[in-house]
Parts: sequence; structure tokens; C-alpha cells
Amino acid sequence: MSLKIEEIIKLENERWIGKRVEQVLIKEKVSGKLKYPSDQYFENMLWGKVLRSKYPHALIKKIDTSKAENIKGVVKVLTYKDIPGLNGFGIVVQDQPVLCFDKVRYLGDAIALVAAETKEIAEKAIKLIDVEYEPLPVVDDPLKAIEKNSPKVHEGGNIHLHTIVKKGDIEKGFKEADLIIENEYRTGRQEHAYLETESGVAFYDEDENILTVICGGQYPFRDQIQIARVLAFDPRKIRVINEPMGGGFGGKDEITTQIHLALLAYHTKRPVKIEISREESIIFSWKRHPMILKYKTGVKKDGTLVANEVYIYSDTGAYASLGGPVLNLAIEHSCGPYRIPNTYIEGYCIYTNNGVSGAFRGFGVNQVTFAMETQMDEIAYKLKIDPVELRRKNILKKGEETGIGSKIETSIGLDKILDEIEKHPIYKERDIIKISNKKYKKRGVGIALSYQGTGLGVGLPDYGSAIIEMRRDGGFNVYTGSVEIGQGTKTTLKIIALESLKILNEDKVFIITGDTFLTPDSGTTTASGATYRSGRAIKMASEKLIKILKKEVSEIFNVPENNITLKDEIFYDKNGNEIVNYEKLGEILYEKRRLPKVEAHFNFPTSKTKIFGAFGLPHHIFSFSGSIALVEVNILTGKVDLLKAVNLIDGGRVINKIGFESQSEGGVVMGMGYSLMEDVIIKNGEFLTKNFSTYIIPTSMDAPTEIETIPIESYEELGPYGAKGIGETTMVPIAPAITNAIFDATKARIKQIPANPERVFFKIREIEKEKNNENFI
Amino acid sequence: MMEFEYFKPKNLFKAIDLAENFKINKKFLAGGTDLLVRMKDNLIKEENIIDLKDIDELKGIWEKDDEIEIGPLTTFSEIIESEILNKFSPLLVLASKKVGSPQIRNKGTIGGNICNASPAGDSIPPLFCEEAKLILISKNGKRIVDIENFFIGPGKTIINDNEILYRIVIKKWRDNDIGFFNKLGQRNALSISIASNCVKIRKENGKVLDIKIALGSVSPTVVRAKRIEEEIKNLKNFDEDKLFIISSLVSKEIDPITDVRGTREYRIEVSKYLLFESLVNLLNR
Amino acid sequence: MKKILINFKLNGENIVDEVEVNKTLLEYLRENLRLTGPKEGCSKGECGACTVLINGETFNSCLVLMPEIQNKEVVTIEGISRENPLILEYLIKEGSFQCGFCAPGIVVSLYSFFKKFKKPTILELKEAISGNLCRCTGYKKIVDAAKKYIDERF
Repeated sequence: MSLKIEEIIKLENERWIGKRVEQVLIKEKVSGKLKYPSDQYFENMLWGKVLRSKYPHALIKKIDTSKAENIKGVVKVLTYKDIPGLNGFGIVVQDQPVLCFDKVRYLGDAIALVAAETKEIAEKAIKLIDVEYEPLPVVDDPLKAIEKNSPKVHEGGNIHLHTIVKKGDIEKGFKEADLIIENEYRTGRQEHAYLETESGVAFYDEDENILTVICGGQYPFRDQIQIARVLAFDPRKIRVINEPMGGGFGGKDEITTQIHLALLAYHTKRPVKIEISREESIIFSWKRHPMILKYKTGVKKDGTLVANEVYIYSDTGAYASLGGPVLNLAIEHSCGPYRIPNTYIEGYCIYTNNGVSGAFRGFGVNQVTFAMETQMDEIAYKLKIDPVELRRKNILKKGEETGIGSKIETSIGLDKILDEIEKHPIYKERDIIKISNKKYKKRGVGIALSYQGTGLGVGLPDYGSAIIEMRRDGGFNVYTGSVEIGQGTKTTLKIIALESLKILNEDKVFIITGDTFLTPDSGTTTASGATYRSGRAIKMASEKLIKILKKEVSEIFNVPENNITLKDEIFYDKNGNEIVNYEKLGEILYEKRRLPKVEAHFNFPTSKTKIFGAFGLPHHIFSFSGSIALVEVNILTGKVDLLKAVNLIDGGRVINKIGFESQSEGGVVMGMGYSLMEDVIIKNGEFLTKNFSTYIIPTSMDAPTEIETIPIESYEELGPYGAKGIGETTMVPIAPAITNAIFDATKARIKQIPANPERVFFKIREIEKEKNNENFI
Repeated sequence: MMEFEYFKPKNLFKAIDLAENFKINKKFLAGGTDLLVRMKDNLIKEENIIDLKDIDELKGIWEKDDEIEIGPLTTFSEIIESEILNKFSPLLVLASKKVGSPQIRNKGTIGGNICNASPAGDSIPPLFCEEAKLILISKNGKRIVDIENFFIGPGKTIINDNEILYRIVIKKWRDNDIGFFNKLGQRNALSISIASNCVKIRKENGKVLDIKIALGSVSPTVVRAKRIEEEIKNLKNFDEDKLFIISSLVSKEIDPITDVRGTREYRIEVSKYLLFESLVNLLNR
Repeated sequence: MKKILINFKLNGENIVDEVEVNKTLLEYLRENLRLTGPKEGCSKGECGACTVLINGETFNSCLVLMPEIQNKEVVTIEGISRENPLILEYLIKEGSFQCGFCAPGIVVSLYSFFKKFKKPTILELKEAISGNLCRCTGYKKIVDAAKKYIDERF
């Protein structure tokens, strides 16, 4: 029997949870004092540069570095021959060479490294490395890539993963349907476009045999392993510092520059810096998987969903990275948060020479949500059922089966989300709001729902750890391996620590994160899980620590242990008399040399069931979200403006109020970019969009002024103070809400995103032709 | 960044000398918002960069009877803040506001925009509508070129190796002049136009006395839609049906390319609607 | 590469130095002076992370060659934050930045903007930072903080 939030808050007398708190390090950010990896400079530093492939697909016949080595000021030129250990990396399979030796599979493939005294010399040297290539035919169409006669990107063929999941009887399902909607959807290749690229520094202390790498990343302990494998180096002697960082969004989860830095530092024995230019970053780094999605959905005329048949073709580019898990998460969420008794879902993760695709906020759910929510919108329109009502009829309740046959046993906030959408003025009064006096600008309102499995899923090690030590001044240092990637984790975890340790003054807690030498391994900062992993661990560690402190107080002050209470940094006896406060206790314990330090570990709860044939599935704890979009479409040009957005987020409890809103607002604009303008265009393996003038992200003039965030709070019992995770789901439903709004405004159904002006324009003209409207005015 | 010889002549004579001296082996540096990007991309083969920003004669905005003379080194921000231009050439001000971003507008110059000769240069369509004259100067003296004859292709102009753009001359607006600048971009700032048009109309007693239409980003150079101008002058009323039919003639006046920002087909089609939008805005207000 | 003697003011101090003519102001600030406030986000003037003030106006320092600042006054985020202008307090309180990488550029743009406009509209505010890309925040809390600053100050 779960408690209502209001009851819980009353019981616990919370001081910090859900409050607006100064974000950690924001003073240093606004003053320009914070030093990011790209801001690091050292004495005696060398400049590193990477030679990348000239062709998207080619054999390497010869590599000649002699000319480069002979330039004055060049200290080292490294090729595959200089790799002491494994010449490979990759989170799941190590199928990507650190330095290529026989084949290149995309333009970002690295072939050689140069370290030189100046940037200019390094650039000159790179140009003088002679590589003899034998170009191979380029594999650039994922549908063609899976045919038998396609050129092979990898020896084992172009299918990295093939997953089939089904439930019930799909044919029977379609027979029961009164309406069947069949569509093909396509989604764009989104670039993370974090403002700071993958630049970093590294240095090697020869005496201590310690290698240090400072580079943006999302899991320092995994970076450690990946570096160690390549350098045949003891991982415990590799210090990886991932913070601070100018944005990650999943793009810095996989290795970017870390191993190259380590190699150069190791071989030159000097500090090395690699500066990655924006163009280099766009070409070599991970992208959101572009997907082709074929959906066939069957529904009864009263709106009950009966069948869903889905085919997914995911373009993972030259190397796997997290392509497999992305496909499987997409499959898991492909039917939306709905009850559908008969499903068939088949997906392919396909190798091509189109750059590389990897982790990106949403991780496959963005693509299937776009498809499924458009299907739902189409169904609502055709059956003349209100879009909210249609969803309400089909949304999952706790304990019911998802489209892949697993049950969600944890908290679900969908009902409340729909309630809020229904009563929101933009939705409720949409007929009035849509009225515009501009003849050629049509307004529309669209909605969408989404959900997101948090954590890594079944069968994968997923855990959190924290260490808390008391200081002499009565304050606490909290250490945890999660990384502040800009998403507010440091502040969220600090809030949890403040609450758990019953602190009054927020300056008493100092939080240290993201450093393999200082913090315990707290898992990867991805899958919307940092708050959960580290937050749980911090809460557990705090409880342990307080127990120890109570025991100390009991001994030192001769008070029975179970008569002691703690509130706002003060210990009280059963009569309400103050015994001692943290400050004094800290000093006393310091004198006794007994300042406590505790550790806590826990494993991310996973589902008790497994989905056969789909590793990692299902997930156990889900966040839920919904969006309302009010758009204005210029029907003359096809340009769409997002006027207002509402984001409804069920992430359990809100811990960091400012952080929660910020993630939601940023998510809306990132989702808007995905929906309307962002696409890395690759033709024949060549990048046509390589910089910010051709890869378009929203500016302040594009982002809506009004973005409303409505937290739908529930209490997730397994979460720290009832929290789940929101990092990803905040950007997902807005994209289909926007395209559904475009339909509402113009009856033009968008099946391919980004819905840039050209696509919307031609869709509108199609509609006009169908209406036999030669002259549309 | 490539290596180069850098010159900063203190006056026009020195600059003319350098131009004469280096001929094609030089690039003029005005704002540099375009040149520096190309230098960083190693697309500039010239070895001599001549910074013109110390030359006073090239900076300024002057009223001369019914004309305005603009120095080529005038930045877009200066155009936007100029009282003279706001009063007497509002179309140029309107277009300048759409250039890049505040930072780019503080540095980019109208002269650079013109000589760079991108068909997407935002200052060019308004200058076409104003029938601007460009004064070029060299050791051989001054020559005046109509802006329509200045461009011969993307990035190509008829300026000689030893010439410097000296002044841009436009006529002042009259009280019965109205204008519209319509830029279609992929987003609302920091945007290079997919297609654009500029329309200037002189109205009297509900009739169009004169109309100038310039189209940007849809041909190797900015072009005037002269056929359409004639049709509109002959219109007795401005029904939207008629305006749309006339706007559709735009496809005969342009020759767009396909690039990352848009296909040729889209540019042809949307130009009709974009022009229609401008005409409706001006004629049916 | 030939060097040239540059004389300029930086955050109030006079600087005289011999610099390669092809060095950008951004490179000089970061590499020669280790002033890492102005950031490199794109090096093509497309993102505004390198924004500084030159004679009071905002510029993308990645597109300014050192010879171009001869006898000019340059102010970076370091100089501005030393003054501790009130707008910083509003940005901190609102929680306007997440990863913070765009913050120096945006603060410089806002600082210069507020010196010129006392009571701007929201549209003008958004235009003031239209040359500064932010990937984390959606710009909302930045504009909200600026709006609160205007409302409470003027």
C-alpha cells in the first residue's frame, strides 16, 4: 500500500527535497572561472592531432610516417604498431580500431596520432603522413546493406543485431481490428552538438607510473578499463577525470579522445592536449541512430488497440558502440505505454559507412515514440475520438503487460499526465487558441505521450556507490562516481545528501564526483540513472553514518542510543534537550581520531523476468512524460514555429526543482530541434553538414518563450526519496507533439523528421492537390 | 590558420597602390566574417591580406541631395543604427537586421557582403531594389557600375584586380515608398537564406507607379524579376488570385541549385509563395 | 609567420606584445594569456561561445585577427565578472545555466546589451543572445533571469 506524497513529506519533514537550491558551481560558470578539459594547459605540453580517414570505406595498403617524423618539433608519430595492448574499443564489442591498420570504415576512423611542440607543427605533420588507400564501394543505404550481395562493412556481415519479439497472435489481432493504419516513418541523424567538443589532456607520471586523462566522459571507470586494455596498463593506475564538461547527452558515453590522449602521453612522457575542432567532432563522433520504421497498427472502432506490427531498421554506421542496446530499447518501447494484446516487433541494427551512431538522450525511444504517437494521432483522427480519450483507453496500468510482454510493476504516472493535458488551457481551449487573423499562418495543437525505461536493464551490471566522510568542522564530504555532465547531477545528489544527513546549512556538504581516484564506481551516467544510482547510495551511506554518529553520541554523552533524535544538525535527547551539534561533534571525534567514513553500495533493481532473444530487456523502473505543442505553420513556405510547449514529467519525486525544470526546458528545445531542423546529412559516406552553419540547432529566436513544466509527482518506493530519473524522457514526446500539431493545423501528416520547411511545404501542397485545389487561396 | 603578409594602409592612396601592386595575389579584409572562415578552411590561396579598416574615406554614411552614399566598411550594426538610413532607406535596414547575429552584425560590412558576392548575401537584394550604383576606384580613376551589372556568378564580380569598392550610392526614399524583405531560413537567427526576395513599391492613389523585385539565393547571382514587375504595374486591382498567378512567373526568372539547405524544386516552388507573401503584405495592407 | 607589435587594453590593463599576424584574438587570450573564459565552440562565428567586447560591442573573438585590435579596448568575461554586475546574481538565483560552457559568451552579450537598453522587450532580450548557442537550457531560464533583472531594476 503506497503512501501519498503529501503524507510522506509530512512524515519525513523534508527540508531540501524539491526546493530551489543554488546549483553547484554555477558561480564559477557565470564568471568564466570554471576550467573545462579544453581549458587545461600545462608546462611542457605537447599538442596532439589525429589523422583520420580520407575515404568512408577503403582498404589501407600502406602507412608511411617518415616525412612527418622528420619535421622539426614533431616528438612522436604513432600508428597501430605503437599500441601495447588491444587495438580496439567499444562499450559492448570492441569492434572499433583505436588506430586503423587494414581498413577504414568511415571518415572519422583514426589512423595515426601526432604529438608536436605547437599546434601548427602538429597540423603540418598530419598532412605529411602518407596513407595508401584502395577505396571500396560505399555502403550507405541500410535497407540495401542487409541484402545478401551488399559490400561488407565488417567481416561478419552488415547485421550487427537482429531482434524479434512477439506476443499473442498478430494475424488474429488484425482480424479483430476495425481499422488498420499502416505507415512508414523516417527519423533524422541528430548530432549532440554539445558546446564543448571532445577535447582533453593527458599526462604520464613516469616515477609513480600513473596515467591521468582529463576528458569529458560519462563513465570514468569504464574509460579506465577501455584505456587499460589498449595500453596493457594496470587500470588502477589510470586516473580518469571526466568533469567538468561542456555537455554530453550520451555522446560522451563511448570513448571519444581518451585513448588517443593516453597513448600520446604514455609514449611521449609529456603532457599532451588534443583539441577537437567542431568539424572533426561532427565527423568522428556518435550520432542518434537514423531509423526507418514500418508500423501497422490495428484498432477497434471504439479505440481499443488490438495489434501492432513493427519493423525497425537502425543505421548504426561503421561500428557497433551501443547500437544493439539502442535497438532493443526501441523495441521495448515501440508499442508506446499502451496495452496491446497482439504484437510482432522485428528490428535490425545495421552497419553502413555513414559515420557512427551511438548513445543519445532517449536511446532509441525518440524514434519509436515519433512513430507510435503519430499512429495514435492518425487513429484518433480517423475514428473521430479525442486524442486524450484514445490514449486513456489504452494506457497501461501497474502490473499490465507492455508490447513486449513484460509487466511494469513500479509506479506509472500516465493517468495523471492525461488529466493534466486534458485540463490544460492550451488543449482544452485549442479551438479558440488556434484562431489566428493571419491568413497564411495556421495554428495547431498536438499531444504525445512517452515513457522511458531507466537503468541498463536485465543482465547488465548496474549499480551505485557512495562514500561519505565527516569533517572536523562538522561538515561532510560526499564522494560518488556519477558524472556531472551538465544535467545537474551534482546539485541533485547534494540535495539528497543534505536531506539524508539532516543538514541545515547547505555549505556543510561538499560533493565530489566523476574521478576514478577520488570517487567510488557508481556506474554509468546514462539511462536517466545517475540520481537513482548515486542518490540511493548516498541515502544508504547517510543512514549508516547517522547510526554510527548516534552510537558515538550515546557513548560520549552517556545517553541511551534509542533516545537520540537528529534534526537540523543537532542531536537531541528524549526530552528535547540539545546534546551536541555536528560542529562540536566533529571537533570531538577529530580529537579522538574517530571521524567516521562509510561506504554504501546497491544494485539497480531489475525485472525478475527476461525477454527471450532481446538482451537487456525488460527494464524495471520507468519515467513517463507527455507534451502539448502549439505550433504555427506558414502554409506558404512550410516553416513551422513552436509557439508554446508544455512538458508533463513523471520522474517520481522532484529532488532538484531548478534542475528538473531546466532538464525539461532544455529537453523541449532539443526535441524541437530533432523534430523541425536537425539532420546530419551524409551522402555516399561523405558529410554534407560539417559545421554549425549547416547543422542547425535552435537559437534563442527559435525556442518558445513559454515552456511550461508540470511535474507529475508520484512516489517510487525503490527510488531515493521517491525519485526515478528524467534526463531522457524530457526530450521525447515534444517531437511527435509538434508533428501532430502540424497535422492539426494543416492536415499534412508528417512521417519523416526533421520536418524542415521543405518537407512541410511539399506535404501541404500534396494535401491541396488531393483537395483538387489548384489555386489554394 | 594559413600564413600571409598583412598590410593596413592608412589612407586610400596607399590601398590603391597595394591593389595595383598585388593584383590577384591579394584579398581585402573588411569585417572578415566571411574571409576569416575561408582562411581557416585553407580555401584562400592569395598571400597578401590588405586590411582596409584604417581608411576613413571608406567609412561613413553621407546624405548628398536626393542620394545617400555609404562607405563599404559600414558594418550592419551601423546601418541598423543610422538615422539617415532608417529614414531614407528602411529596406536596407530591415535586411541588415536579418544578417547572422549581433556579433556578426558588429563586424560584417556591407562592402564585404557585396564583394563576397554570395547570391545569399542579405544586403544585395535591397541594393538591387534601390538600383544602387557602386563606385570603384583604382589607379586608373573612378568608375561607376550599376549593381545589376556587378555580379557575374556565385562569388564572382566584374571588379578588376586593382580596384577597391569605394562607395555605394542609393537614392533616398520618397514618402510614398514602401518595401518588404522576405527571408526564408531554416531557423530564425544565424541563418543563411534558402530563398529570399526584396520588394520596393512606389504607390500613388492606389496604383503602383513603380515596383522593384529582387530575388536572392535562387540564382547564380541576385536577380531582378523584371517581367513580374511589368505585370504588376499593369494590374488594375490586387486580388490575391491575380497576385498568386503573377508570383508563379518567378519560376521563369530563376535558376536555383540543390544544396544542403534545399532542393532546386523547393526553391523554385517556394519562391512563388514567398513573393506572393511579400506582395500581399505590401499591396493588400 | 611575421609578428607585429600590438598595443591594446585588456580588462583595463595596457598590453603591448609581439604577436603573429595570423593569430586570432581567441587564440591569444586562451593560449598566450591563459584567459580561458572565452571558449572555442565552432571557430567560425556560428556559436558565440567566444564572445568578447571590443570598444564596448560584442564580437566573436574567433573571427578577430590580433592586428585588428590595435589600440582598442578588449573586455572578456573575466573583466566583467570582476565588476560583479548585478545580472550575475539573477542568473545564479534562477539557475540559468547547466553545463555552463555557453555562459561566458552569454554573460558578455547580456552585459553589453544592458548597457545600451534599459527597458528592453522580451523579443529584444532574445535577440541580444541570438548569436549565442546553448544546447542545455532551451534559453528559458536565461531569458527569465534577464527579465527579472529588468523588472526589478528599472
